Amino acid sequence: MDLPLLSLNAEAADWAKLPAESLADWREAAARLDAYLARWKVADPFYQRLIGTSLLALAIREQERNPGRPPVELTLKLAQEKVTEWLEALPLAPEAGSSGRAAVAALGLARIGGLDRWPRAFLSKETPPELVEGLRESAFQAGPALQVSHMVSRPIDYGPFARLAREAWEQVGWREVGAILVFWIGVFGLACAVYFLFFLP
Amino acid sequence: MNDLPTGSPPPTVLLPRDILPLRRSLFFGIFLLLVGVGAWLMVEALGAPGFGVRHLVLLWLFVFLFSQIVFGCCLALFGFLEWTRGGDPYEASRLFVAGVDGGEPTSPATAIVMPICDEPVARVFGAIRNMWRSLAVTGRSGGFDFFVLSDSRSPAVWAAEEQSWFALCKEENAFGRIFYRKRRLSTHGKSGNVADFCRRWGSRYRYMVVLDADSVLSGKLLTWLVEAMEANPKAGIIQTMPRLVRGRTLFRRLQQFSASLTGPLFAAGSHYWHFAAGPYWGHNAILRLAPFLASCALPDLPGPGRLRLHIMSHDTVEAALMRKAGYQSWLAYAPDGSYEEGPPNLTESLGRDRRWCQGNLQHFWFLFVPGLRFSSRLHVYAGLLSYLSSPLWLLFLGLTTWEAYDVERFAALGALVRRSGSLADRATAELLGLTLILLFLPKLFGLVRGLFERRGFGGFLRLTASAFLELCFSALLAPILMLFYTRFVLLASLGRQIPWRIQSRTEEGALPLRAVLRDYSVITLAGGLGLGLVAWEMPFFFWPLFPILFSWLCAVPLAWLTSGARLGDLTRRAGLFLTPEEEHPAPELAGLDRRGNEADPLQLSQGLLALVADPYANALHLALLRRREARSGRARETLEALEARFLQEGPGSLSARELATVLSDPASVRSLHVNLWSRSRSRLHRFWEAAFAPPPT
Repeated sequence: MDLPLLSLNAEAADWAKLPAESLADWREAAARLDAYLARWKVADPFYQRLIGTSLLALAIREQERNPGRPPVELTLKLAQEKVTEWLEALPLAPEAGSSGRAAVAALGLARIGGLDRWPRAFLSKETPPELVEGLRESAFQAGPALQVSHMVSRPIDYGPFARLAREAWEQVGWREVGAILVFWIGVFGLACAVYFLFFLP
Repeated sequence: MNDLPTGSPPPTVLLPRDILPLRRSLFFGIFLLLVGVGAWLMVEALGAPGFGVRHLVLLWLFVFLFSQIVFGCCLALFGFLEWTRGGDPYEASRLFVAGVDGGEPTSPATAIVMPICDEPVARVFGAIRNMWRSLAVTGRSGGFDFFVLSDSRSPAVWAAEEQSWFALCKEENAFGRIFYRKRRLSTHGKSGNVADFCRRWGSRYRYMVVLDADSVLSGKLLTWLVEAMEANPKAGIIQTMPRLVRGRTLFRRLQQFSASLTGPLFAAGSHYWHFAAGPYWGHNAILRLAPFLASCALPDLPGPGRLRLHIMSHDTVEAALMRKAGYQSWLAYAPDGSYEEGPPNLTESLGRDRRWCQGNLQHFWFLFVPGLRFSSRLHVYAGLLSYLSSPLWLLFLGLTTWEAYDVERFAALGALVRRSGSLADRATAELLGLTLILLFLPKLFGLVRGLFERRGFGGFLRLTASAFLELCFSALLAPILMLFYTRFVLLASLGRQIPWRIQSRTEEGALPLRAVLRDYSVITLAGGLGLGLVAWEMPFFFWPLFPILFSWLCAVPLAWLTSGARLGDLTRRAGLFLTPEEEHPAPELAGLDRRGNEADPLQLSQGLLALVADPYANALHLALLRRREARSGRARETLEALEARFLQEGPGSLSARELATVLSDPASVRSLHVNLWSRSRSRLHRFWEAAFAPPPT
């Protein structure tokens, strides 16, 4: 673990010097940090507590330099930075690439149960060789390598009806349709008129 | 892997040359004979000679519609005859036994693809798990890879799918064998999703098994399918016969009982005449990928502008194109191990029918495509007729009522002397009798077949009672379906687009009465009014119209009562509508009912919460998003505003589309995770409170 645990123990004793009005915020920060670390499912609760204490101490020290920053934001951003740095430094399978290294490393840990089996590797510079081997073997694969095929729909001859329909769509506009309608209404009307005028018994 | 050249002629011919023409002659001979008898009786009943236009229309309609009834009856008849002689020796599972080497531990590369879209996540991955384990039991799972191809629109479902996929792969140590892909642009529905898979990975595999979101195939059947394809290089498609399972609502239990009783007979009858020109239903089937890639890309339909639609119902067309390319399509109806679930209630069933209706009507154009096989045209025609017949039945009903009214009016006026026992009356009675026999014969055949396997159906008495009740249900349902299908046909013909609605598979609780009233009260009202009107105005035609009008009257109670699981459970306890699959469920179906209420938005949102809060789930989502170019400028600002709203006002403050946009951007996903943990509670919506509670172990 690369966090300055031993030197911070002394500083921890000075926490009581924090202004009383900020104590509630720091308590929220501590609770939030606990919840965040719990999400990593480190199998050793004692070690998790040590990590939490160290991060909190770092955050308190950091706040002396940036007094305006709220404790929750300060602590959790710091914790996440440390975690990301640690994840990015983990050895991965060669095909993992450089982009999204932290995410791939986290998935590798999840896949092999890394923090279940080696909880003390969390945020530590020393990575057990078995963990290294496990991470290298567990390349993340959402799908196999692409092997692109040419599957393109080809135009199909739909036969005489489609040809007729297409010709109608392409060659006959609404004006023509209207003219045809008017013509046939006229013919029908004329026929009716002739029938009613001359042939109705 | 995909090593069969598309241009080379497939080498083996497995079918005896003369058996198919003989069977087709027999099948269509009896079909035409029965249609001829019906037409002749109709001519007699209409009182020919002296046909008017109405009579001619009536006769044409009758022949058209009667042929559909006869076709169904012939399928059941020939299926029944095949069953009595112990099964068809040319059924695919018997035909493709020779030459199969079952000793190979690794099958040819086969992709099992399951396209999904906002489906119950636990059910989907439960089915994959069961198939994976079932394959492992066979000892020949080596060549199989699973692909879950998601088009889900709901961000909550998307998140849950990713997490379930990862959990499943971890549980089964199946990384690199079970894959998950979410499409960025969901175009062309299921067929587009499968085509996208084919373009990316199709050439890595020799075969593809296509599943639906509710499909399950046993490992034994999967390995057999591959072996059968290997044994017959001419086979392009082998379609299995899925058994309907896991029904709890009365509607589903009735459907699965009916399918279990008569389905195998219809399938056997269908196989009797089409042999290697069988249907493809788009799921629970295996396809040879090389010809599929080369020949089965779906063309656009003819039409200008918006009418140039994509084919909605792809399966029949793909089978026709596969046949056109010189490959066979087999229906393997005998092997067990293929399962699916039906819609839980009438409303869901109609929703599915509406999509199928538009899809089948689109197939009209394929009737005239040069070069298609006769059998393919017949499948297209049968599909068309299954919906087109409804408006024609309605028209026929109207015309016969008009005819009856006229005959009675003229008789009353003395213009026409009607004598009891006249030729027309006798022909009418004979025609009615023949039609009823043709309608009920398939049910009777199914019952007889069921009686020989009665233990699986709950015993003699329960099976007989169930068959009778199911008959009543079918008789009540058919006229209601006729009205709905007529509406669907009219809407589709008028160019009304059908939105792709996700089929609900939940069985918890009956349909809300208000929704049932909204959807069915008009039909009930029409039935009631119709009965009153006919009783008052046409009492002489009351009884012929009674079955139809009464079923309309029953639309509301029928839809409502059959939609709930309570009545379904009650009938299950009473031993009614039992099926062999229900009595002795296959191990592949184990645990699929333990899925909780996945329609519950609260439960669904847990996946979303985990995606943002949990570092592993967040990392998984980021890894699955893969590399995407960073947004800049205004796009970034918009995304930041959405992120802030998401955290401050909760998931409900964003539309599904906005949420999907945020979750599709890697920078936003990372930023959401960081900001959720580093914001004070006062700046977070209460939805996120659960993130800070101890995580579930």
